[in-house]
Amino acid sequence: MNVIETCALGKRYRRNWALRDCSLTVPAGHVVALVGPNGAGKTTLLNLAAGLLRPTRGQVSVLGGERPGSAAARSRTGFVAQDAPLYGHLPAGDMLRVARNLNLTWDEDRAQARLAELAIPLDRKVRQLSGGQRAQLALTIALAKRPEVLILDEPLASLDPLARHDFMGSLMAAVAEDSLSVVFSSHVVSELERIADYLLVLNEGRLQLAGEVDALLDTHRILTGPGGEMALNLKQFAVVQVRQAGAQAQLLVRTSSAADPAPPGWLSSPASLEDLVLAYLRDPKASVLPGPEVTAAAGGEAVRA
Amino acid sequence: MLGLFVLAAVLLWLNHQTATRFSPTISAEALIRAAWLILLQFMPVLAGAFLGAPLVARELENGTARLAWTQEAGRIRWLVAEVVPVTAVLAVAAAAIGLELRWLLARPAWTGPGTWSPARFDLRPLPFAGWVTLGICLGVFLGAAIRRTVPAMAATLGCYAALLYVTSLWWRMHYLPPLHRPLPHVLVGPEYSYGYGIPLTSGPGDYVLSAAPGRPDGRLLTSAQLDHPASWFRLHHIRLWVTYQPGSRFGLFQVIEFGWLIVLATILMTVAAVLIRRRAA
Repeated sequence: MNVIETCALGKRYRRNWALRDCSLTVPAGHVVALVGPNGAGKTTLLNLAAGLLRPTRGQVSVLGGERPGSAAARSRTGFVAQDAPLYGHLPAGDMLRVARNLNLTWDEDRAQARLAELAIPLDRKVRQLSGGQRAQLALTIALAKRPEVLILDEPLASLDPLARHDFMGSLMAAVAEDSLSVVFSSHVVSELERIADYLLVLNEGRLQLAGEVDALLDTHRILTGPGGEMALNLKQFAVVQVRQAGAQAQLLVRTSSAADPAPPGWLSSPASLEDLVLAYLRDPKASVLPGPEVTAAAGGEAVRA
Repeated sequence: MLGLFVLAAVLLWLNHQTATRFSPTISAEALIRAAWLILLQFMPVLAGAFLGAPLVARELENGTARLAWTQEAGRIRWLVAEVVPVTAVLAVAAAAIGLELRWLLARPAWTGPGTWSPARFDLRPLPFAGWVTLGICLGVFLGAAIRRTVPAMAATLGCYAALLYVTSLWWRMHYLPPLHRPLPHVLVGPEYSYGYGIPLTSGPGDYVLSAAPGRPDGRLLTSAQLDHPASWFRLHHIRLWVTYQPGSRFGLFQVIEFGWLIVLATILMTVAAVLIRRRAA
């Protein structure tokens, strides 16, 4: 089953396309990081998947063909919007009750246990809670309906490093406990490897990179060697990024497999996920998408010297 | 809003206590009575602007709509749960206040403008409940359409005021075609003073829309003919033709007003539901 599946999906706000021609499939059972700079279309894509927006073009379905926003999709999707909106004037306990009344499936014991474990006072108003506590409360509400997929829009953006660590910890615990798929967006690219095992990179409204993290890391290398004549030597690689530092050049290249030998005179080293994401984001034209035709077409474009 | 209702209830009780004592002088009490009748008139529009308009608009502004609308219940159930209980409670409260007022306004201390007067007609139980319902539904609709709290509140005030103005000054008295009736003429003085008396009735009474002299067959006099001497009037059996709504229609008109208010409120809520279903959060 695919938790999210889109085909030529596009969304336009007035004149601007926030998302265009986006075709992707996200298989179930992954923790998916949706990465991109501000304004890349991450929120638009997630809101489309949550059924809050209607596509301008193309199709989107969730959880194996359900229309986003339909009753079936809503009951199986946990969604935490950007900035984790909650009713600020309500005490945390009442906030939980409101959410319980809005759902048929609701695991009250688990929600209460989670809040107790996090020491979130139920009688304190939501707006008086710390940012980390609010994020945890929003996560608790999303998890209490026992969703099959959890969609989180920038869950880490407003958290301090400690709260961020705790939040990811409780998210990972929930993933381990249930067979839960998670899709979360982030513009923070460090530490992604610890969390996500599937990566989507959006840039300027287009999907740039999609795939399992391990496979992406296996097929990208950093080559360090002499600058200057490298374009002549490196025809066999798709070069994603070139950095010149004096006489030395550093290249991020895509190979067909991890076993590809480095050309003579070049030093090959593994790329980190952060290197890889940053390199793609710097060059919006480069892309690696699943499917043979797409890869071949985009591969030609990706070669830049 | 709740505070307003509590205030209204307290004032009602106070008035109930004082109403049984007859005091014909204009006093501070009378001023308070007048003031709070005006306050009551504002209740439906205040309910619309402060309860109805923010209901959807504030959720859209705060982003909490994105929380509420992604839960299992969905947008339409959420809307119904938000609007229906509040509206039902306020409409029943308005009807109750209207019932109390009906008793109160019949007391001697409360004699004032006639029962048909705009200021008193829409405080009758049914019209009052209808206007409260419409006020809230108008606010909800404008909140869903405009999506910003403060502009939606302002628009609610404006639209409600316009509708109430048009209704009470023009439309209400024409819910049914008015009747015409010639009044017997009464001679009250010498040659040129020729008077007509309109009989006073008790109860709701008739509401006179206009009165003009005319021939027995119903044709009204032209302005030139009005200059004829009284003898000419007598010769031609000139009558005073009164255009009026009979007092017997007083109850029916309240039902008609309640009816169209509820129909309009239902239409507004349906459109609001469609907007909420279709639009992004």
